[in-house]
Amino acid sequence: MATFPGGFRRPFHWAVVVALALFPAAHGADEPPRKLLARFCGECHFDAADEGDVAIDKLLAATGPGRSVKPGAPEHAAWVNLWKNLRAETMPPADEPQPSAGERRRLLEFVSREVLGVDPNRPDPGHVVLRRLNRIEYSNTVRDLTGIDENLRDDLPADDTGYGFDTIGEVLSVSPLLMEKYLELAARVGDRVTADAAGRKGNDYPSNLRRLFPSGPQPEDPDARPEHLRRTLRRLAERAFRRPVDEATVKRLVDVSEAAMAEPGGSFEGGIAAAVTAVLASPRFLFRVEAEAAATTPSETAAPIDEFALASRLSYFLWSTMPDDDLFKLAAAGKLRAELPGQVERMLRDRRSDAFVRNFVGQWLQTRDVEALPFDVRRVLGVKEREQGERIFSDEVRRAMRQETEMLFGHVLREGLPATDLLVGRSTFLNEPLARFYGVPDVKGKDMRLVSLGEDVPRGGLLTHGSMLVVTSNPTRTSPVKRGLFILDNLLGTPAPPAPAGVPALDEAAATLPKEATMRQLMELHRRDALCASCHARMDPLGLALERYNAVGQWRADEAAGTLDTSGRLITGERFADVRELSAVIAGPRRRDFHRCLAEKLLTYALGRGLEYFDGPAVDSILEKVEQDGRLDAFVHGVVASVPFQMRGGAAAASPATPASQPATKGKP
Amino acid sequence: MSRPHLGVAAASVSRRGVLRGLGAAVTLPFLESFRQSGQAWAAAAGAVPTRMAFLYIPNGVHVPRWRPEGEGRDFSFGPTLEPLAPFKDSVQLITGLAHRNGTAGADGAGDHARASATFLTGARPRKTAGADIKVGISVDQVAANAIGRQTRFPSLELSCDAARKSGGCDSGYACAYQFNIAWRSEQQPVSPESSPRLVFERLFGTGSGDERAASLAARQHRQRSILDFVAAEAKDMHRGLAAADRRKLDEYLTGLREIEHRIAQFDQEPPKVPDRQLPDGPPTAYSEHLRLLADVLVLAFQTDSTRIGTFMFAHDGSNRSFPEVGVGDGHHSLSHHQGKEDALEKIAKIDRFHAEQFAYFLGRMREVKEADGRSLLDHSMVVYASGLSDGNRHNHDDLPVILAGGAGGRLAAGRHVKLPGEQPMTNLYLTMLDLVGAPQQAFGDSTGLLDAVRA
Repeated sequence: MATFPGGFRRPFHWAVVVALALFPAAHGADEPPRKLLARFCGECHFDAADEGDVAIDKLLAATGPGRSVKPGAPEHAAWVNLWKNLRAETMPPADEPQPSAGERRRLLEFVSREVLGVDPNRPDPGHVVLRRLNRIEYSNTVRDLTGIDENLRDDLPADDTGYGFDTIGEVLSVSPLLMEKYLELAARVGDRVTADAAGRKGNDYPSNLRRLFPSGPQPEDPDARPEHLRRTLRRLAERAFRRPVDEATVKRLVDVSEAAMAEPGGSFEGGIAAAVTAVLASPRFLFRVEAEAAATTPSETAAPIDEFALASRLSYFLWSTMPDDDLFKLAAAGKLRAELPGQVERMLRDRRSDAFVRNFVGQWLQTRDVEALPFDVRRVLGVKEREQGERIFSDEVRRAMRQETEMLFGHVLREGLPATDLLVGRSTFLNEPLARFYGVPDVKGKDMRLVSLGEDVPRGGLLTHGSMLVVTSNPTRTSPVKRGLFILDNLLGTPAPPAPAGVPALDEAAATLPKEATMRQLMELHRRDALCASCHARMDPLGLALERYNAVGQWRADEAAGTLDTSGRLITGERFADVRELSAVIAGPRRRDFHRCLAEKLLTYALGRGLEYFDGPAVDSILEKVEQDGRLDAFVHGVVASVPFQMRGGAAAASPATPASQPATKGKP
Repeated sequence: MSRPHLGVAAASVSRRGVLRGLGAAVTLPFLESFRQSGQAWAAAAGAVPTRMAFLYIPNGVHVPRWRPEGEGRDFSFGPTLEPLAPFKDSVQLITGLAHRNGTAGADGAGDHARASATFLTGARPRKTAGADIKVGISVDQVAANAIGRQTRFPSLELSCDAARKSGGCDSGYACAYQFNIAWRSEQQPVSPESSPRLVFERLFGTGSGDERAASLAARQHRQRSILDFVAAEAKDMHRGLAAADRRKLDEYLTGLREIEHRIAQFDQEPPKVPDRQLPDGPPTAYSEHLRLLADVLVLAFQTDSTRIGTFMFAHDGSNRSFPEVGVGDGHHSLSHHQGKEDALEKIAKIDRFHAEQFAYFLGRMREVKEADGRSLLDHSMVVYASGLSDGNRHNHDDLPVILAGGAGGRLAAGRHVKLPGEQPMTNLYLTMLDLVGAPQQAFGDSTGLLDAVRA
């Protein structure tokens, strides 16, 4: 066996040659996945080459039709890793030949279906780790539970994010600092309840507090008081924990309340306030505890979650807060599942779904960042004074940019429009400051409103939104690379591989360019080096199509801009002349990529975990739902109806009987 | 040309002046102002404690202008470190330290994420966008585990970044790697705080003057009143959870135990609180933000509220611009300077700006006198460094590292220590753990102690 010094990638390709000899076939749509693996991975991972201890040919030999690799088998983790690397496009490395999007998809399907044995008829919903509320959900839930509406979000440290979202259970940890904050805020809210309740007139609580005192004030009759207190506290705990509570919890709360009432100056309201503080600090409030609908046996890989858990998944997905009374009542009656589509419609019509729009869009399209990113407005706008630039690209304009994208998404969602309207719709939301900034005439006043865009207006669709153009720019200039990556990552779902380590500097090549080189000339430097070209050919043309918009999203009206070449070609072949045609390509021939990308983002956000190799059927089920008319709201319905949203890992994954020392496994017998 | 940042700094003097005064209010020597509690002092028997802090600057530096001339005691600062001149006797510039686990290895791109993630851990972060994040426990947390219980707060984590970037972070690495440098365990980062006012209130209570001590006492009382309830709830809940979920609840329980411990300690000895307060509202300029957080960290050390702190000026990969020093470009995009002189010039300005803020911190540390007449700085170990060397090359060797302070006369400050060969950064940390009273056999990828920095 030949050995190679130093673990360097070997300089010749005999493994590939052998592989190709074994599987002689033309490269094409029907090239079998095994051959694709040999072609793209062979050099480093076939025939005694096992870089990173991964020998794919050996892995392949251990599998075959009807012989899928079971969880727990030694090869399982290796295959899962292979799937993850393929999907994240971290393999093959950027400096190696890349499979096309279609080839990559076929490989992923092959690994998940044939090798790992993912079976749509035997779905694995995966496991979402016990998830704490993030700081937005926390703040909203406290508001809806107690009626105390203080912005508590900013008192909490920033949440870590994963897969681009702040809803991911794995990275939402509880540090001692956070614990401290929780206790502190719980006490603060309790104090506010006491103070507000003390100011009541007669027996009438302030309207915001009535939800805490559903049974009214303390009865005159001392004998009726204990039961009244228990009833009040039980209701509080049920709402706070978003599911029925047991007697032990009620008893503990009674103790907390009675101790507070017994203190000097204590009162019934003070006792309830103490209980509010206690429940807000409880792990049952801070974490989303879920249960299955019925006890599962160890042989079941998946079980539906119970309706209370379902109500919470719905409300945190669509409202970023706790379920309301209607959802609670349906869950308690066991009727929520049966009425899901109607409930989802109701929830989307409710203004609380603005939270979904703001939090999902805010992270998917990064509109959260548009108001705070630093810009050198003097250089971008070519003005003398910074103040002058900041009057043009004002806080008001930035805020309107964020709102434009959010409101368009909300509009398309609630009006039952196709998701592709986000890209090619001929209307948008503007107010006067933003319209003036864009150069759109006849929009008056500060209120954002739906505006139809004339054919001569160079706006329409996400790719022309200030928000998107701003968050993908550098402080002094546009970045076609970032803009291209944004489109690949967030609209087409085909992220480019990360740049290889040790990218050669472009300085020598750049020195050959004239001082006033165009952005396109600069970008073309990427193509001189084969190493850079393979990936930059995917992102640069997309970004260059947007070059008519400057770093803060203004249309370049100057003479030089008139001759800008914004034409290009997608790696999949579709040509476009400008941003409008590019948008039409994504919404047309590449519509399915866009749909898949959107479905995956929504599912990740809603589930609170990254997608795994076994989630393909769930994504497909969403795509089937939207196939007809591509309506944006159908995506939401599809996510809600999907297996991972409706179910969780079965008994073996979550059984209370699982000893703590034993890792939880998926319940395969 | 006038430097705009000076104007900004001057304008904010009055706001910071509030805090400076606050320093004056507690300049009583350490032992005079704090009664000994048996627990805090049993081990240290009258000695002034050693404090440790780690300050992180992102994106590497302009290496040629950072590098000192000369070696040993006979050295002079590079141009960007000139603001440190008044502290020449208190710092050691160390050349030759590296984070091997920051390099690409088999993991490919993502040097910014690895720069932050390896910085205090010396461990290789697992490449994942969210599931199963894993790197290693950080040096500050190793110290906190050993000596953190001697103070009210085991450690303090600070950062000027108030929020995470939306969307993905660096090349497939979860944002947690980039926005945290303190790691409590392999899997759990310790989120830093960014609001000077909130950190201050957490340490010293709310309100003004006497109100603050009272507010701290009231806080303890309230916490105590619900601890039993939540502990019982957690216990019930624990029973119904899968193993993976228990890990999350355990984080909660750990936090709870820390608070319980603090309450018990509070009973023995009420904490000393300064009688001034922070300005309301968030800081307006970056320099002010940095200095207010620095002030709070000094106060935390001064009052012995904690002995361990980490402070991120910004996360690695930060694209912040620096209008204070006339740099409108983003730091990250500048750091890919491609050898262009104008970009390098701007990076040098940023490096110098950072050094000025560091000098401010050192100045505040030096103003505080301890019981033995030496300064707080003399009794501290402060690392000021980046996880990258040259932002263009993304290299993790030859890191820019400064070790300030004397660790009670046990560090040979006032030198440029040029190591003969490359050594792991973790060798320095291993030595610091020794000096702070938390000795370990090994840490991260350490290969031994870095005796070169010791007196």
